[in-house]
Amino acid sequence: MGIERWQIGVWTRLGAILFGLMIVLGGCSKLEPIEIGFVGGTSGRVADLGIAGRNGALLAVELRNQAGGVAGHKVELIMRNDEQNPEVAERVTRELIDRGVAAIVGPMTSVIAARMVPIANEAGMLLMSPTVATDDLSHQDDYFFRVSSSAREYATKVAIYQRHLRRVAAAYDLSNQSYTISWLHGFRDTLTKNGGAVIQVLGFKSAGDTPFLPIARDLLATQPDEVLIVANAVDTALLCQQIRKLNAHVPIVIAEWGATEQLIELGGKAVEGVIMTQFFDRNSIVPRYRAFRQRYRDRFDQEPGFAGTAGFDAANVVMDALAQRRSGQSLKEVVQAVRRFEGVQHLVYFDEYGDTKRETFISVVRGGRFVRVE
Amino acid sequence: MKFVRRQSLRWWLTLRFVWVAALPLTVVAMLVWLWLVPLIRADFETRHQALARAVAGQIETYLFGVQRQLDAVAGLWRGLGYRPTPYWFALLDAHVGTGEVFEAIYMFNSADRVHSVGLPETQRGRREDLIGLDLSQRDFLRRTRTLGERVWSEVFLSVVTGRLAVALAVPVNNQGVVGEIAIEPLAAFLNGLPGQSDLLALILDHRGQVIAHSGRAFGGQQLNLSHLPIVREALHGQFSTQGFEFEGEALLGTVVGVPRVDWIVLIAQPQREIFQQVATILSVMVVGVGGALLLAILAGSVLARACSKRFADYVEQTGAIARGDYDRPWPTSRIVEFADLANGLQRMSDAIHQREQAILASEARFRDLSAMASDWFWEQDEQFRFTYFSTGDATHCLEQSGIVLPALLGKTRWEIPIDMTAEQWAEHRSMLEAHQPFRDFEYRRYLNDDAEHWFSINGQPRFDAAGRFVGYRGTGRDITERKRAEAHQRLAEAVFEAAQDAILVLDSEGRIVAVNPTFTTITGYTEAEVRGQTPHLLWADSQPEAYFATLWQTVLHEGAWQGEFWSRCKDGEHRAMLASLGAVRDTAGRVTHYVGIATDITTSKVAEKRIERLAFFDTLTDLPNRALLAQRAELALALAKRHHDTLAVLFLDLDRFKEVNDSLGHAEGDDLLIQVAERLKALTRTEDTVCRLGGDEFVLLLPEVNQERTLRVAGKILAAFCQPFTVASHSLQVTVSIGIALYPHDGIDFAELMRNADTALYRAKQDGRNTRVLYDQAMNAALVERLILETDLRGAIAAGHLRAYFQPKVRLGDQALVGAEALMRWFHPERGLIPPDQFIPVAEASDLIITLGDWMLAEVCRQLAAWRGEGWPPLVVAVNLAARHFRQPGLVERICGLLEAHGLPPHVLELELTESTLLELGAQTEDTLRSLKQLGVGLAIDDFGTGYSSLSYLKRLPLTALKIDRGFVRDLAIDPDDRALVATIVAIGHQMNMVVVAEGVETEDQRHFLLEQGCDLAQGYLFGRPMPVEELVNWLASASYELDPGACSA
Repeated sequence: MGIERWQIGVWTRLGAILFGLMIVLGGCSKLEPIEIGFVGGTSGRVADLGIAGRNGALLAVELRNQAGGVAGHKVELIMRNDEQNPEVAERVTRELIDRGVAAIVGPMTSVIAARMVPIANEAGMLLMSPTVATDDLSHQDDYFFRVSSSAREYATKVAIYQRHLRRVAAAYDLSNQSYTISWLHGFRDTLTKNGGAVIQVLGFKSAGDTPFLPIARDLLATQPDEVLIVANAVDTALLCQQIRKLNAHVPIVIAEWGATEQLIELGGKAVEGVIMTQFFDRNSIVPRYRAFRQRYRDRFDQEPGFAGTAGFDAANVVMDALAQRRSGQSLKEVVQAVRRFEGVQHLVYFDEYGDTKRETFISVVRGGRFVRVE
Repeated sequence: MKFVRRQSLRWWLTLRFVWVAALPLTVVAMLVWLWLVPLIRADFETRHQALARAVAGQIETYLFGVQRQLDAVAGLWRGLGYRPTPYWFALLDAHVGTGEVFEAIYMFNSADRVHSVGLPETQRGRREDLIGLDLSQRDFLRRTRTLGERVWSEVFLSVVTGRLAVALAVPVNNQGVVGEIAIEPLAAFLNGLPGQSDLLALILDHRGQVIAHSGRAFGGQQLNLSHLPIVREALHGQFSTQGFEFEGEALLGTVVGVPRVDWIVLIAQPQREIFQQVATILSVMVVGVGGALLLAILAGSVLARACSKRFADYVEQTGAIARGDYDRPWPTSRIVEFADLANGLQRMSDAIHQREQAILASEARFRDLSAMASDWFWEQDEQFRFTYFSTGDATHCLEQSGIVLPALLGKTRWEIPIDMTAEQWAEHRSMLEAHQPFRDFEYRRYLNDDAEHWFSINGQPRFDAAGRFVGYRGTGRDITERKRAEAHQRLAEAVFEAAQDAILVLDSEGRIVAVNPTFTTITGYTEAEVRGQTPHLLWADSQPEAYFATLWQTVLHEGAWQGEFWSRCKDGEHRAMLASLGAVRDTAGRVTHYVGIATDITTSKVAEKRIERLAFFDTLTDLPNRALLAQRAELALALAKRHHDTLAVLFLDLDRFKEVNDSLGHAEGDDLLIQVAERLKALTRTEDTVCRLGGDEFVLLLPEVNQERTLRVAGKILAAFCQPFTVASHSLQVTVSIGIALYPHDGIDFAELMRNADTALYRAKQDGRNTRVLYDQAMNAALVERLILETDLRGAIAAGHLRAYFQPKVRLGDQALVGAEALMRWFHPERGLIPPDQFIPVAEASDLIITLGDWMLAEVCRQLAAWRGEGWPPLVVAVNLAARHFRQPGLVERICGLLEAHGLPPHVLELELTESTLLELGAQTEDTLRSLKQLGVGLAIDDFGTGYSSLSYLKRLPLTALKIDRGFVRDLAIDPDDRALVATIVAIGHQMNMVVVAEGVETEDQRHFLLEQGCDLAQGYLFGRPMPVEELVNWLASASYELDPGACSA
């Protein structure tokens, strides 16, 4: 007796059921997700910077996943708070490296970067910083990349803008010297070249118990043409408040580090008229930026600010590089080979050392908003 | 039979066991899934809600404490009013205490500036910083002042502490007091919650931002979770339990609100933990089901083997019955059921045996009947496939035709190559598919020998006992013979009905039995009117009765008659008929009918006459044509020869008839020809022949005339043409030229006479028209001369014997050379210089004049270009063109091309036309002139005043120059009339904005007079004769003339 018709039917059905099961099970076994680390200070005095940077990176990942992920892999952002503390930063960096993340977006501040970069170099882990601007890390063939310009460029830009000034008194944060010193040097070099001088430099420690009124008094005692503040947003706002208590008119220049959305909220009227360099235009009408800004506000009920935008760009650079990576290629090699990436407002173009030079311009606070003037 | 899926007993039993084993387990698994899972979920929801409520309650209490303290401060402020700062510092510091609850308490004024602040002990050094702080950008401060109520802030970065904080603002008379609390302590409410270690507990503010969290490694400070549906709904006041994904894990979470601050508490747990028990139960069940299935399969197999042996015996027995072995005994068994089965089957096989015998008898009857029937029988199954054909006489006949019915078994009827359209099939099939009976369905087949076969079939649907359609049965019949007979019949009828000839059928007595429609059409008689009559009814009386009798005699004796006769129609009209009448005989040779066929040939009879007329007469004038003329001439010549008579041929041609045609139109031209024909007919005798050869050529053949009489006739004709003709209300003066040749003097046959008359006519035309010329021998010589000249002239162009001479044209005012007239000279290698008046007429008589004109245009352009190259100022050179040249299509383009090819401006070229040329131009050539003028080419009228001048031409045509004929110039000195004429011409020319040129100026007097009259330019021997180019250079050097440097136009 050969195989009969009914038998063929039964086996066909069984086969179909098995096949269906395989499809269902196969559908369940998704591709392994790709993990990307994030390190930034999401608490403490620089929390505004860290939170915005993390939100930007998170939004980038979420949008990428909605669009199908990277080569079919879902992307997960593993977020870590460095508490603006180098010890903590070192611990979480090692943790992320051990976990096997593909790259780390961050850190947000130079002082943290100074601690993280050697660890990353040792592990061959790509760091893509949204905001770190210290010149200490410029022109080095390392694993540190950044999507914003260096402190010196920002400082030079604003110094040129204010080149008519002769006497500038400066205050800077001692707890992020890697950045603040770079900034000050850049500013002073340009100012001196144009015949001006930094007549006084006051360092202060960014902490809850630091009184700012004496610093303001000291700064104004030399009767400067202008006061320069290189500090985070909280300290900058507080110092501006003290200066304005004593002098309603002296021009104030601040570093872009302090120019987060918190500056205005914390500084109130005291920050009206302060001048700074920015690498992005909050009111840009570039469609890519407008779409990004809308999505950011929908998602977080906040303005992205420069840190949010930089975080978004940095995460996208990492994911674009991952998408373009060929087997056997390290992520650093991909970034160095590709070099050109799309930012929300500008092209992000890496030089051979992984630094970027972005268009910068001068903004002032006017009517409780950042307004681009040059 | 319906297909029934077969199963082995083993399989059947296994399936039943599996069914029994698996069903309860499956039901239990579904119950677990549908009932247990929601139950567990509800349980977790209850527990998590309780936890969340507890946490929310704790937060409420904590925040209420905060609020109470601040309310106390605010109450104090309201009660005491604002006092010196140190007092408030102390008070506020006391409230802040060690900073366990408050991080800072500060009072702000209506400008949102801090005026008092209380701090923990460690922070008090910074008090100075905080006094006077501008907090105007703090939204909640502003709100509390303007709303006059307590407002909780969202999480914010405190400028006071530099940390994330929340604050409560309490209004005091458009001012207020704020207490900031750190958010870290809030996490304490979440820590130590009972339950699993993986519990996730979150406090979120009203924007969905994480304020505090517990239980998990979590980098989520200030993380915004508003994108999660559970959070989003909670922020809108809908608190629920939902599954959601967070940090790559599926969680089940519950939210409750903290109403005081619009925060929410979220407690969540990984779903995998919650449903772990269910998963365990389900996996046990899967194992259980698997075991049960294995057991079922085993049991089925064992039981089936025991039963199947017994069944095999029965199967063998039924097989024997199927083979017809009804006597074999059934197997016995002790088992009651099997024994009953054997008895039952025995009874069944007996019954079957009996019925089979009855059916065989019935079958035999049917076979005998069908073998003898003339029809055959067929059967089809439900798919309409043939399953049976009877055998018998009918099928034997078919086999002789090549149809083997058994070969069709298994096929449907539409698989047989039947000649039938798709529509016919579709109709038949739709009936079959509706299971309708059918009768006399006929179809056609072409068999191997290509012979046509017709079949007719009847069919009846068959249904089984259950009423299901099982096929068709029916009969078939070969109806080919019948069909052939019908076809013949139809064909004959169709021929009879459709024949273009009249057909009538007579009986053996010669009375009309039937007629066809054509008969009625031709004769007007219907069949009813003529039935029973004899054909004599149709006999026209104009023919002899005897003819009719002869006709019948012929039919009776020879069986058929054919011939023409005239018939009388019903309306009395007589029609010519070509008819035949034949007898039809039966097989015995007896005449049964007569059949007559008649064709109406009346029309062709009339046409014959018309054709005859067309062949010999001109349709326009109704005069004899050349053919009839030739016939008559031959006749007349024969008579003349016999009677030694003379005979004249006059060749007439209207002068300038073409102008009439061109100017008035062809219809009017035809009208004129008709009038001319009438006049000619009126002038001749009846024995004379007036013939129109074609066009405007007529020939008169006058027999029995001598020379004098002939000349008199010619004179009469010329005189008759003096009377103008009236054509289309125009009065036309037409003249005629006549050439005359006489027999036998000028020729002895018609062709020769015609040729010589033509030669004489040519001479008459040359003699100025409106005259008659008698032929003489010398004329032929002149004609030959002309032909030679024409041939030589054709060769001369190619051989380069033609030359262009230029006669200078000077301005009378200052005698400056402004241009020249180009004139053609022919140097014949044998005959020397041939004057233009000899060869131009020859050229004009043929197309050569155009060739000459083209040659001259090219030559002049070439010369002009050469002069330009040598640096001469632009001279205007005039070229004479004939009328025919202007009628050439494309003249403008050719001239344009020539000028462009030589790089010449158009104004250096002037075209000269004579007055007669102008007269010959039609409307189209006038357009040509305008185009030339537009182009810039000059247009001069030559020999003005000699011809049939019309001033309207001067007005209408775009002429630029007017040349006074040399005839008027010659006698200026002696003839006062000429002087007046010239003066008038000059005045007219100037009036019309034309340049006036005098030709043939030979004396100083003439020049003087012309200058006085204001004539612009002159040419003549006084200035220079026509000369070749080389001489012109010398002439210019020797004479006192100068080139006019500005001469571009006269």
